[in-house]
Amino acid sequence: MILRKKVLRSLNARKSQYIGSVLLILISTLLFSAFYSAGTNVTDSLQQFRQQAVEEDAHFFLQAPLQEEAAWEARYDLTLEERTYHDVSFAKDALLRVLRETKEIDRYALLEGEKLTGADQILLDRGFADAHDLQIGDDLSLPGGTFHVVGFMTVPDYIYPLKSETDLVKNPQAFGVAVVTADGAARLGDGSTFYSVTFGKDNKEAFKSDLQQNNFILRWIDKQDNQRMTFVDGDVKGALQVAEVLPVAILLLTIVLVSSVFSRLLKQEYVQIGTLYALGYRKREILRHYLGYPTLLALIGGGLGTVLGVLLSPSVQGMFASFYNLPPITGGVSLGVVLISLLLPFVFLLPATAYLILRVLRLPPLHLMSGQVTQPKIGRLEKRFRHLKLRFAARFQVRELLRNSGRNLLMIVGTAFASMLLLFGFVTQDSMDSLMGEQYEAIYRYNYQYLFNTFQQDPPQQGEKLSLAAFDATTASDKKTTILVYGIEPDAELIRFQDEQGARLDFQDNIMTKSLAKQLDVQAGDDVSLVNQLTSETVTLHIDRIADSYLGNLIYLPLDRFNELNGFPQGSYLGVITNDKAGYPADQLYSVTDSEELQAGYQAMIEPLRYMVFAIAGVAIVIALIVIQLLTSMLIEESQQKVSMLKVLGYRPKELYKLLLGPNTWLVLIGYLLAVPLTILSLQQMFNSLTEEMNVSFPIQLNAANFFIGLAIMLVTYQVSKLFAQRKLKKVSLQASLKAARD
Amino acid sequence: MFVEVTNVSKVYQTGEVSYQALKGVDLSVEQGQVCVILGPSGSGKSTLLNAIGGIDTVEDGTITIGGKTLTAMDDRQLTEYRREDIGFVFQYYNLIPNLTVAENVEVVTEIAAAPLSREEVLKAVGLWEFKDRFPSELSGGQQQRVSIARAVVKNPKLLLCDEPTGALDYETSKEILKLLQTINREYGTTILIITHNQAISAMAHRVVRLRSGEIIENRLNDHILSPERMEW
Repeated sequence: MILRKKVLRSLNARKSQYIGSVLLILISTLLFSAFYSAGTNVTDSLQQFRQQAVEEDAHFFLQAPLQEEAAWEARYDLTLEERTYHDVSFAKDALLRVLRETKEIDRYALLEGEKLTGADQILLDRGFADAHDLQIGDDLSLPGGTFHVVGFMTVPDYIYPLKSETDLVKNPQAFGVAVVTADGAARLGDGSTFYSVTFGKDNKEAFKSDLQQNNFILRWIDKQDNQRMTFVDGDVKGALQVAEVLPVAILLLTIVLVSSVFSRLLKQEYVQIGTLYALGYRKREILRHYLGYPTLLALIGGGLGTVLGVLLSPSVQGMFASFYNLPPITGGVSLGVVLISLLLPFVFLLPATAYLILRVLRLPPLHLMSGQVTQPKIGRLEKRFRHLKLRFAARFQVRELLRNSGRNLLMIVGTAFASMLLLFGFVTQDSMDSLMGEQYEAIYRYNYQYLFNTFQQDPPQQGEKLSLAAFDATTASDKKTTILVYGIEPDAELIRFQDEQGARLDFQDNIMTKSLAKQLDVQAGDDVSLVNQLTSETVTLHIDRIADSYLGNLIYLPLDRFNELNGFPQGSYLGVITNDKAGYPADQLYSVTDSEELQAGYQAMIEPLRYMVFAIAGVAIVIALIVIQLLTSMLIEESQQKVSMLKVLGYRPKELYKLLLGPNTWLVLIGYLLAVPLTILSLQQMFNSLTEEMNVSFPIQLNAANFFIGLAIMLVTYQVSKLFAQRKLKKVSLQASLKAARD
Repeated sequence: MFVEVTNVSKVYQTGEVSYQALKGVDLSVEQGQVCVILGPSGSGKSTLLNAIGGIDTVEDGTITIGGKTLTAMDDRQLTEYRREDIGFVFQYYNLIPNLTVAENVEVVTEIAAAPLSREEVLKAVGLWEFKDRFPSELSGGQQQRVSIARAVVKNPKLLLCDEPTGALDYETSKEILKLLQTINREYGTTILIITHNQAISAMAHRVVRLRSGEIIENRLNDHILSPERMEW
């Protein structure tokens, strides 16, 4: 059809408006194809790896070695494997956890190099190797002698290599894992023993209860409570959410923008549409012609975005694989994802634009040709503010704002969307800083936490005593969550909690963290029911105070009350917190936590987040530029006659910019201010859904400094887009007003 | 009769105000005739032309063109009627600005059942050498020629011209009228022209004068003049 040429030429004539729309479609399809593919491939590869390596359902530590493993396995239809590990000091401050190779559960997968064949061989996790500049072929000097690095590996229970299952951040500088053969483990001497288990049927509670009667379970960690195993799931879920929510949100914004540009195009072409009618064109032919515009935009934007997404997807997968200790992620972008990515813009754009066209096609051809329908109408608001006692410039600006309420709304929505994207990064960073920085330092005033593998009765060498046990509780949304209950000395000084008003809490009381109180919907003075993870016994606890802390699902009791609750020996304890390093023998210790290490790990983890904040800010600025530039160019195009007339009357360019573009500053400001609560609310929702599996929750915060930086970025972005607009304003000819009058 | 308008009335309703544009109009035009409809603004001549062209409807009466009764047609049938039988020439040309001269003509050849050759028609209107220009690169007279070429190329049974010289100067107007007369003679196309300009009636076979929605004069013209000889 010859009219196709008209589509191309019209798009070319208004390319500044359409390029923006194409870019938005490109960004959304790129995000979808890259992140959705990466997310699903990581999920699939992870699942495959977990199956092949036989991922544990839980692991546990016992007071005494387990006897008659085979009998337990037969009785409860489960698989057990005794495991050992050795925590060996490495370099200056690092700890390498050397695991004995397993046969049935949590088997290692080789990432590079060769499998273990000899007692002097060792496989390392790649993150640790990179952090310590270790290569395949190097020799490591460990307590049992020299070990030869033959490759890199990963194990399902250390996908995210954390020293403790409840840690939040990894730090490959300070901690890593390795695997050696059974003979190799023997060279290292006596190690710590624990057991991994997979269940054939749902009889965990019966097994635990039986085990507890025959032995004593020191710790039991289900895989869903093990951050080393579950952290990656939250992250993949996050990537999939990015892939699902962000492209749809950007496409919705694109629809609004394209519809707006398009309805203006239709208005300008009413006479042409009427003429085509008069020439005998059928409605469906006119509809098909005008659908050519969104089709072309969707084709170019969606096509380029999908191609770039396909190209980018391996890098996103690689990012996951290297951040987590994952086996190589297989699978490219599936045909299904490519098709959805290509179709998505059509699904969004075509119905919206078809609706606009059909609305125009309902008008009789005579009306269209008369041009009467395009006459601007005076709105109610405009009529109400007929008599404004303002200077002319201000009155002019108010009239502009009142007359173009649709475009103004679009400007607010567009800048709010871009601001939200910008603020996502800032708010995430601020929230993490607040959680790990201010809160951690204010509450935990010790440098080391030592947890023993048996009960201690003698007074500690130094520091304060504590004990802990894991319980289950049911949240307000009817989900099971794990809670750590601590017993600490009533006069403890190394941990300090405050209530919301800032008053220090007394450890004579039973104290619950705010994050947990929110999840369980508990107020001070309420009772909560908890199920002991080791004994499966249900206990009721009265909560006296709520601590203003988001650092985990925690309850603190006085130590004596804690021992009584758990049936532990009076005066016993399982851990010590202290400011100075203590010299406990390694075989007595279950774990050691170094606060400095934790902070260093946090800093190491926050580093990529900072880059992510910059990247998100970059995308946000691009989107803001597109939206603002598109709307200002639309504004100038619609105001050509006015601009031309003002030029004829002798207005200077600066006066024109001020009159026409001045009011938009207020709209950008309103958009930004709206974005702040919207960002906080939506991030709260997102974190709530992401951290369901992680047993943590985040207080969402935006610091004043970042609020103003964000505002400055948006205003500067607006100023930049104004520069483009000024060039366009300069191009408006003096004859435009005269021509328009004649037409 | 090729064009048969019988007792046609049309009322425009704007809010509470109603305005009767046509009051029981009767008109007949034979095939191959040029009919000029004269009248001041608001006389109903455009309404009559639009109703005959199938882009407006009437309340009462019947309109029959070449045996087809428009007043009995639905929207779809009216579209087919415009597509096959009618050519329009507008006062302000109504060309598509981002299509070239040739492409503006092609807009019609694309959909017409038996169009004439685009080249033949553009040569006939004297614009073949301008075929690759855009409308904004042409004078008003040239743009109107394109508009006429676009109307004629489908080889319509009836050519409706709404003030075809209303936006043109004296010389150019004469050229356009000459072109219309040539088309009438060469292709045997029936032409209805509405105009304010009484002088144009000299080139018509039939002259109709409207005032306030009523025909006050309807006569045959025995002394048809060539537009070159017309003066106003």
